[in-house]
Amino acid sequence: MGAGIPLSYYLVLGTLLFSIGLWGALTRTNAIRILMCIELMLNAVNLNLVALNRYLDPGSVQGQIFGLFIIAIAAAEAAVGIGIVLMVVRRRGEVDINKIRLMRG
Amino acid sequence: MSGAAIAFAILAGIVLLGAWRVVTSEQITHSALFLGLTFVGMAGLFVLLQAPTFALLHVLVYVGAVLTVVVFAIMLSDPEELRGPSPDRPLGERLRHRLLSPYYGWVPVVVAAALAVVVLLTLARAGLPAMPQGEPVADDLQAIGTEMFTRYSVPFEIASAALLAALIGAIGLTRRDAREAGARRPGARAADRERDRERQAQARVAAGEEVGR
Repeated sequence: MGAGIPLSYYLVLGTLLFSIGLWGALTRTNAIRILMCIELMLNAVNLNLVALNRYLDPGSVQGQIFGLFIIAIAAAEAAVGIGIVLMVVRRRGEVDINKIRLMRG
Repeated sequence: MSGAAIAFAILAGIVLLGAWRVVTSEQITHSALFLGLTFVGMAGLFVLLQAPTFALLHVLVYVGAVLTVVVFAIMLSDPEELRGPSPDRPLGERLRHRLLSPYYGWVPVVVAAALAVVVLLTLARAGLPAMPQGEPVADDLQAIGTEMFTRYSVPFEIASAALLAALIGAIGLTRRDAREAGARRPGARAADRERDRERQAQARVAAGEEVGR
């Protein structure tokens, strides 16, 4: 199982996923959607880590452990990011990042 | 074509379609649901890579926690987003507007495409193995647990501290404080303006809910 697929397929998939996430994070103006795109990019990194772990160093689980730390930090990032978004929504009634100018002076 | 290759093709298609729709859906609720689809497809890929424990934790955290929080945030935020696209602008005009504006059109496309091309060219000449270089560990749950509490115990503790800090930070950010609007501010006029703006925002939210219904 999983043996018939070259490693490069997984890495290409990870690259495409990261590019889609980056494109979305740059083009969208809704703060929540930008957070979702950041999650996509973190997922692409996790896929690369687990695939490289399986193909290049299958006797260990180091890549998976790094992936687990990324999951933990991604969860923390989502919690704080969405907390900030909700606070801004409550104070300004706005989720569009172009209309949030609190720090622009 | 082996079973694994077919499974990989289907899961890769699910993941890419989900990611594409996360970015391009008109309604943000659809984006969130497609994000869940992407997460489930990713878990399938992890199972295909013989990392079932990682797949389990991935589903648990991403679908169970992150996606729930995202859906809650959508629910609590701007209801204009929930109403979907504005009907007065046809699709062709929207697309043209989107492609011609530099910041939201072609510059991000060029940036993302350049990144993908550079990485893919590097991958093409890297000489990666087609087959795994050996058998995976027999019991990956035991291996992850052992490593996590021996070799990686300090990073584990730091990660737990980071999660605790994020939890406290999120609660502190979203807590409703009675003194929030005025008391600590110098100058009552600024506080009044702030309060007016907040009231307007609440009125807008309420009006949006009326329309949404």
